Amino acid sequence: MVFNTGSALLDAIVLAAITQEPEGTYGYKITQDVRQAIEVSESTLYPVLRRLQKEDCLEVYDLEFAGRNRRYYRITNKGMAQLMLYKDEWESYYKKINIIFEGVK
Amino acid sequence: MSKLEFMNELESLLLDIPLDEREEALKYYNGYFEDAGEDHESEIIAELGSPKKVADMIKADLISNAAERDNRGYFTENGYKDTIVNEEQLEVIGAANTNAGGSQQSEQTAGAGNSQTTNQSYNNSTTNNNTNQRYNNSNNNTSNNINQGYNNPGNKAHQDNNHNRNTNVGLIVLILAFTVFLPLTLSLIGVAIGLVATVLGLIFGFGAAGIALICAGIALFIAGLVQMSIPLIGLAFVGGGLVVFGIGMLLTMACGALCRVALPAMIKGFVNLCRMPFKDRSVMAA
Repeated sequence: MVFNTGSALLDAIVLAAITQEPEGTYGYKITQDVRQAIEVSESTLYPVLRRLQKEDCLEVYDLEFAGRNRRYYRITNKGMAQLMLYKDEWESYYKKINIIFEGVK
Repeated sequence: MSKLEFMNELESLLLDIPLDEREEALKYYNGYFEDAGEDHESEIIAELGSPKKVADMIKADLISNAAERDNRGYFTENGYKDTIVNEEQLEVIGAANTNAGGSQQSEQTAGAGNSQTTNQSYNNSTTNNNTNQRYNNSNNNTSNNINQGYNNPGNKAHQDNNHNRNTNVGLIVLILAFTVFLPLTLSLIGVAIGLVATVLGLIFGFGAAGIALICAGIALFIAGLVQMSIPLIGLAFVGGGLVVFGIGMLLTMACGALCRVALPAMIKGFVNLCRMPFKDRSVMAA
C-alpha cells in the first residue's frame, strides 16, 4: 500500500465489508475481509467498529454459535446512507484522478 | 504469552475506562480469539502486538474527536501508522505484494457485487416513497456533515496550531517573568523598603535626640536657676542647659527639614515603583 488511507476511507471499507453479508457479520470475519483490500493492523478495527456502532451506522446483536454468543454487526439505514455517500465521493475522487493519470479524452 | 495472559493484561490496562466500554472491548477480543480458533492463537497475539498497544488504540478512540482522528492514523508504504501508538508498526508488506494481483481481481468482483447491492438498495428505496424521502433526507444531512468534516479539520488544525503557538509564547513570557522579572522586582522592592526604613530611622533618631536634648537643656537651665545660691555652679548649669537646648533645637529642625524634603520624595518614589510593573505589562501586552 503506497497511498495513505484516511479514516473516512477506512470507515467506508468496513461498512462495505459488512454489507456483503445481509444478515450481518462478526469481528474476526470483518477483519479478514478488510485485510484483503488494505493492510491494516488487527487492533485498528475494533475502535472503528465501536465508533460506527455509537454513531448508529452499525447495530449489534448476539447469536449463539458453537455454544457461545457471537456478536454480529449489521448495517443500519443511517450506515447505508453514509456508505452511499462514501461511494459517491470515492467515485468522483477516483474518476478525477484517473483523468489526470490517463489524460483528458 | 497465552490468550489468557493477553486478555488478563488487556483487562488490567483498561481498568480506567468506563465499565461498559471495557466489557465491550473484552467481549470483542474474546470472540475474536474464539473465531480465529485455538490454532491461530499465537498468530493473533503476534499480529495484535502488545496488550498495551490494543488498549492504547481503544482509549485513543474513546477520547479523540473526528477532526483529530482524520489527522492521526494513516497507511503508508510500511503499513498503518498511528501517532497515538508510539512504537513503529512495520507490517509485512511482502504478503501484500504477493497478493496484489489476486486482490485486484477480487476487488473488481467485490466492486461488481457492491454495485449490485447498491442498485438493489436504491430500487428498494424508490419502491417506497417514505423510505426514499428518509434516505434523501439523511443523505443530505450526512453530506452536509461530511462537507463540514472535510472543510473543518484543516481549519481547525490550523487554529489549533496558532493557539499552540500563542500559548507557547505566553509560557515563555511567564517563565521569563518568574525567573528574571520576579526576583528582580522583589529585590528592587527590598532595596526600596530598606531605604525607606533607613530614612525613617534617621528622622526618628534626629527627632528623638532633638526632643531629648531640648528637655535636658530645659532641665539643666531650671537646675542652674535653682543652684544660683552657688553662682558658679548655677551659671555653668544654665549655660550648659542653653547649649544643650540649642543643639536639641538644631536636631529638631534638621528632623523637620528631613520630613519636609525626604518624605514627599520617598512617597513619590514609592508610587513610581508601584506603577512600574503595570507600565511593563502594558508594554509586553502591546
